[in-house]
Amino acid sequence: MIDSLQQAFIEETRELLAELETTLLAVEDAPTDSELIAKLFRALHTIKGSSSMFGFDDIALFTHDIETAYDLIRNGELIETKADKMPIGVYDLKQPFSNNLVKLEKNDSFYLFSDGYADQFGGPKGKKFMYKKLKEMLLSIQDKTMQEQFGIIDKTIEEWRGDLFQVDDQLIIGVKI
Amino acid sequence: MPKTIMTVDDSASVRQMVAYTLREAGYDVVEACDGVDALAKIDSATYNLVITDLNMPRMDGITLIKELRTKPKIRFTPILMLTTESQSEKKMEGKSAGATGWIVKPFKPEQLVTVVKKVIG
Repeated sequence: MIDSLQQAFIEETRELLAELETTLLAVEDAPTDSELIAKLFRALHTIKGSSSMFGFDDIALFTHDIETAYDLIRNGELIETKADKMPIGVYDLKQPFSNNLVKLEKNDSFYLFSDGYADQFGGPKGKKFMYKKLKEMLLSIQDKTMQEQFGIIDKTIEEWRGDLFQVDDQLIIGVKI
Repeated sequence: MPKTIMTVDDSASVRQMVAYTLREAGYDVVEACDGVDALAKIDSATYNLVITDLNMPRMDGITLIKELRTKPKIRFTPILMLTTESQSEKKMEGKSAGATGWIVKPFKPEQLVTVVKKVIG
């Protein structure tokens, strides 16, 4: 009986892999189709759950990693690489800057920015814009072209600042791969 | 007369493994492949326990638990959820929906039988 259960697991996993492939191809044409995306995650989740139940721990771990990677894509994850807290100009305690290596994939967007945008005072209470709002804004405009994003980023900070003075330089460089 | 358990899981292999383990332990088992199938089969027997997976097509486990708790016949029947470690927040959601408890996957057959015996004897 245990053998036939394992055989059922193998057959089921083969079917799920085929379903996964078909669903992935369909998602390529309809990347925002929530039903397709749910189907994709269900297939991965089932492979992970059943392989761990049958003692195939390596498959379960591998599938878990894939699920995590897909989750990053689904959520439009923003990955932040923090810079050294040091001015780029003259500075008494100047140390060598850290080099960060970031692996980029097709369709990734990356942004480099100074602190002026997030530090701008404004809004109804004259408070700083803050990084949280900046990140949320960048995530919310990922379906736009870089030119459209420029317009939105510029308009947003102008409206936030209102009649207040600009406190610092406001540099944001965005690149889409 | 053996007690009857319904096991609900879209993974045929896991469902069959649960059913096989429980039958070996002396229980009658009815299998359902998702929430919709479970609701369709709920009147076919008197169940002493329902064991349900959470992530399923058509109707997920949490919705199924809520639906079952509206049915007088199964309103007070124990319901166990099959969860994974990564679904910890779902445990509380399931409890709020009316689940009695949960079993975390992966589990060994003897662990399943121990939990089931604790719940329904």
